[in-house]
Amino acid sequence: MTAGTTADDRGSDVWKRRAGQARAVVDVEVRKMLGGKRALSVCLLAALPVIVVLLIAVEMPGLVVSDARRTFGNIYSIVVLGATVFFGCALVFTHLFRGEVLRRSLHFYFLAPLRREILTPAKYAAGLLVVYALFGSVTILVHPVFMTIVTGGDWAVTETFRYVGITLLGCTAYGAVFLLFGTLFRNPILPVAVLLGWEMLNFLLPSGIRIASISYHLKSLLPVPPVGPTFGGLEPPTAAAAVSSLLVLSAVALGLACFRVRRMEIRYTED
Amino acid sequence: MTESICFDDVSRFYGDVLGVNRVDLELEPGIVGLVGPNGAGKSTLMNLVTGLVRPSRGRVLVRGVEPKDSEAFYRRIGYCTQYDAFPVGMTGRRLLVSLLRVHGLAADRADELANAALDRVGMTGAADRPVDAYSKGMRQRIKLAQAICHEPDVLVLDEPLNGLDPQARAEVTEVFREFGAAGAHVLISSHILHEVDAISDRVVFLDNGYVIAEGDAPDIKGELKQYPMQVFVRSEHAPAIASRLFELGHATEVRLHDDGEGLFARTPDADRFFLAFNRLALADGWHVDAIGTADETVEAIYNYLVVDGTTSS
Repeated sequence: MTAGTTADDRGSDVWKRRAGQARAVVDVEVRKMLGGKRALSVCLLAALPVIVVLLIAVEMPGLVVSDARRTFGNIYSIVVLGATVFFGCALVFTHLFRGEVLRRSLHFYFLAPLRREILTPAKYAAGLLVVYALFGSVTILVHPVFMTIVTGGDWAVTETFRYVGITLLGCTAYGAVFLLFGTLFRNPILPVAVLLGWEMLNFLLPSGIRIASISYHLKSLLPVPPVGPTFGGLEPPTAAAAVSSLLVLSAVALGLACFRVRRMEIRYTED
Repeated sequence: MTESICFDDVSRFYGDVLGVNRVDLELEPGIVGLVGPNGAGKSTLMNLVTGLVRPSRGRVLVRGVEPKDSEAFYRRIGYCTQYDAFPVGMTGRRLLVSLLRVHGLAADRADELANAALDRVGMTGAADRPVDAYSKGMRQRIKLAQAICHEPDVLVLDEPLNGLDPQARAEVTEVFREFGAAGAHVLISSHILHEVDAISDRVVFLDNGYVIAEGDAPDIKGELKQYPMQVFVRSEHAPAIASRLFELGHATEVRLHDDGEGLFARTPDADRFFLAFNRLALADGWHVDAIGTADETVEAIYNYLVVDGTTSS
């Protein structure tokens, strides 16, 4: 038998097949995320910046551009990065494996002739597609809306795209870390809370430790330096250093998640 | 050897809890029934065969392939698990097509195989309804379709008849037979022992994590010399036969049938019993309508080995 899945195992065909498998996983995962109960929570988080920006913008029309940019920078770092991206990614990425274990459906993937080193990045990619689309769109929307309302239309599109880039980079880094949490912990809420505390109170830490923070690097990329003690006593990293640090962190977290998933067994009764 | 499923001194512990211990088995293609009470180790054995858990000790080889070689291994394995859960929001057809795409098949081939599997388990009509809305029997059938849709040559089925009505049982049992006849391994665990008996070429009895017997049912019974055998006799002289069997010490227990024209006798030595019975029948002029062993069934052996607790001694 096995006529159905006998495949040519020559090098290029193997990778072609694996790419097809990864696309299939992404397709399934995106459908599941959009059809699942969590989709509503993630959409509400995506709507949060729109609501906050509108509420604040209508209260302060006629700001000079520099003040408007600084105000938006603060709103962005607190609401978009601190709430929407952080909690949205936590909801999506911790659930990628953990949710399937709780739902007792992970075995469907584990019983497929699919390398787990393909499955893990494919699930991650599916999560990224969803949060990029949602949170990226929100960022594209809120920056021009805010600037238009408070300055009467004086805003730079390059700055909008810079914010979008930071959003996507934040999703990439937080997503990889939360994916890892979902493979390491039975209850990822606790490590997520610890990370939240670390990110919020990071400025209290000694300068050498402070750089071990995703928000520290993301905020260094903001077009307008944030008010507050984020970099107090420290020179912000260059854009290249910040971006490469976050990409390396994401790659390491994804690699560790792959390693964990490779060793996973199906023992739902213990979970 | 490469066409068999080999357990080479396999043990699996969950912390301090024993899953299975020191299993040495070589299973040839055909239908194999796994029988044992809850907690006997049936699901652990199935999870080991399918690579969902790894042995704490020993090695499992399925048709020459180890589970760690996942791409080659899982093309050959189909597993209908005990877990009654499915990915969110999918129809039966979408589930099968998606899984076949994850197997690496092209879209048209995935459609073709999904349709064939749906047809085989009688789910074509309900294929486009959400799985979440399926009845238990339908979910069981779609799980079976998921296990067979990629045409595996090792089919592992954990309680596959649960929730099925008699007609559906007959239909899916026929599917198992077709796989077995085509040279596939079909491993079935079920509590419905007479159905295991009816379809299995071999049976593996498990208890407390150990394989306590394996083979075809008559062979296993033949090896259990120390256990009394149950013999049924249909005769109008049943009460007289019962009395004589006791008198001569050939039966340890005799139970008359309610109609007074039959009996069940337990004997520690079947050969001696039949010899003595023939002599008595000739000497006393008994007319015997039928005689035979009543316990070469999987259920009877299960009762001997597990329910009566005789293996513990």
